[in-house]
Formats: sequence, structure tokens, C-alpha cells
Amino acid sequence: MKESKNIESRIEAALNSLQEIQQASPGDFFYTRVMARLNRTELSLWDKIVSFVAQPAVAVAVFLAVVLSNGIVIFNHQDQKSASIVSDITDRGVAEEYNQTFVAAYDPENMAP
Amino acid sequence: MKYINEKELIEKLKQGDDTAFKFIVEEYKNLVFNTAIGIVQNEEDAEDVAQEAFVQVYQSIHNFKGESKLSTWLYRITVTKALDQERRKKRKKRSAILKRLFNSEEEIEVETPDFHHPGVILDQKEQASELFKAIKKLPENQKVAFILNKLEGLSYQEISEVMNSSLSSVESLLHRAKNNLRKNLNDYYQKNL
Repeated sequence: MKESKNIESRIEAALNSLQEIQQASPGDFFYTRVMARLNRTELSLWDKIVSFVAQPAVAVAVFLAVVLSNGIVIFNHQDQKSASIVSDITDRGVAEEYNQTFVAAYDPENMAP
Repeated sequence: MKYINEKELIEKLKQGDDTAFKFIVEEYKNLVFNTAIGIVQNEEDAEDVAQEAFVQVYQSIHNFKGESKLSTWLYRITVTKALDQERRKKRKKRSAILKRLFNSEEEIEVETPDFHHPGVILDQKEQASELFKAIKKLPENQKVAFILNKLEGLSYQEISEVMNSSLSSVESLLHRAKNNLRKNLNDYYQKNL
């Protein structure tokens, strides 16, 4: 009985122990430390970007993308070239059939006066 | 430097004015640190949380719409950061326990020392430390409501704004927090008296 009363009074004392509590404050030069942290955070953001780009998977993906885009450009260029050759051959065939002189490009010597 | 009102201060901060930021840090550092120390119950961790909170203020001031008071926004940031810190610590503690289980030769310190809030008056130090032990065991939302009420002296209305909840749910949270504290303290004294 006495023990439970004792416990009850301890509980009450503990619950009331924060009644006169003062606000805690950080140490001196807190603003300086916040600014240092801020600069560190901004730097580490760049570090994160650099380390992301330097990752092998990202580097390989970028390399493959460059190779692929180059391949597409070269393939398209060759396709255009073969198409112009085909049309050139067809033009020559028609010209020979009608006994005409074929001028493939601008040729001042074969131009009519 | 004094600012006429909060709106002006926030505008200056949005423009990247360092003087305005310094003013906010100096004006609100105790609010942030005191809230953080109540939750994390460690001075170094509270300093860490407070710094992180102000870094977030600087970086995300553009997202602050001014629908609540600046102090309410600061409380929210601090509480979120402090709870994150607590969760990180708990995870570390759990992994330390696991390490100890699998590696019995290695001695790992897991027990946290008693916490003494620097603002508690000397003759209440022991009781307050016992109360903080009981607070540590509370569920997160009860802990936050109790800390804001007892350490920061916020009214129920202000707590409901910080916690984005209704007045009645704050009342209920605080009621349950006090009941749980009584229970936790009772268990503690049963073992230690």
C-alpha cells in the first residue's frame, strides 16, 4: 500500500517536472555552422550529379546512345546516296534509248548555245 | 535588422537575401533546437536536426505559400527531420543488436545514456530524466503532441495546425499520451524502486 502510494507520488512528480522548463538553445555561432552545412549540401549536390554521370552503367549507356545515333546518321546518308545512284542509272537508260546526250550535272561544254 | 512583417521577411528570403536568412536563423534557432532535442533526446543529434531544418528552409522557401505562419512551417520541418533522425537511430540500434547476436566476441554499446534536458531546473533533473525515458517509448504522434505542448508551450489549436489535424484529435492524442506516460513510469518505478 505504502509502496504503491510512493510510486504514485513519483509518477506525479515526474509528470510535473517539466513545468518550469526553460527553452534549450544551440551553442554559439550556430548561424556559421548552418551556412557551412548549406555550402556542404550544395557542393554535395554537384558531387552527386558528377558521380551519377561517372557511373559505369550511365557512361556505357551514353556511349551506346552516341554510337547508335552516329549509326543512324550514316545509314540514312548511305540510303540517300544509293537512291540518287538508282535515279542516275534510270536517267542514263532513258537518254540512250532516245539517242540523247545525258548531262548528269551542269556541264557548260555540252550546253546548247 | 528588424522586418516589418513576416510577409516582407519571406519575400526577402525568396529573393535570396542572406540578411533575411540570418534573421530567421537567429530568431527561430531556439524554437527549432528545443523541439528537436525533445524528440531526439540528444544534444548532438538535435544540433544536427536544427541545422538540417534551416538548410531545408533556405532551399525550399520558394515552396512556402504563406498559408500558415512561418513558425508553424518551421515546427513541421523540425518534427519531420527529428522523427527521421530517430528512425535512422533505431535502425542502427537494431542492426547493432543483430551484429551482437551473430558476433558474440565483439562488444557493442547499445544502451543509450540518460538524457538531461539543459533547460530543466536542477532539483527536477532526476524526475525529468525519468519522464524523458517514458516519452521515448510513446508512439510518434503522441510524442510530438506532448513535446510541443510541454516543451514549447503550444496551445491545442497551435498543435493541430502543426500536425495538420483537428482540435479533437490533438486532445485525444494528449490524453492518450498522458495515460501511456503514467503506465510507462509505473512500469519503470515497479522495476527500479
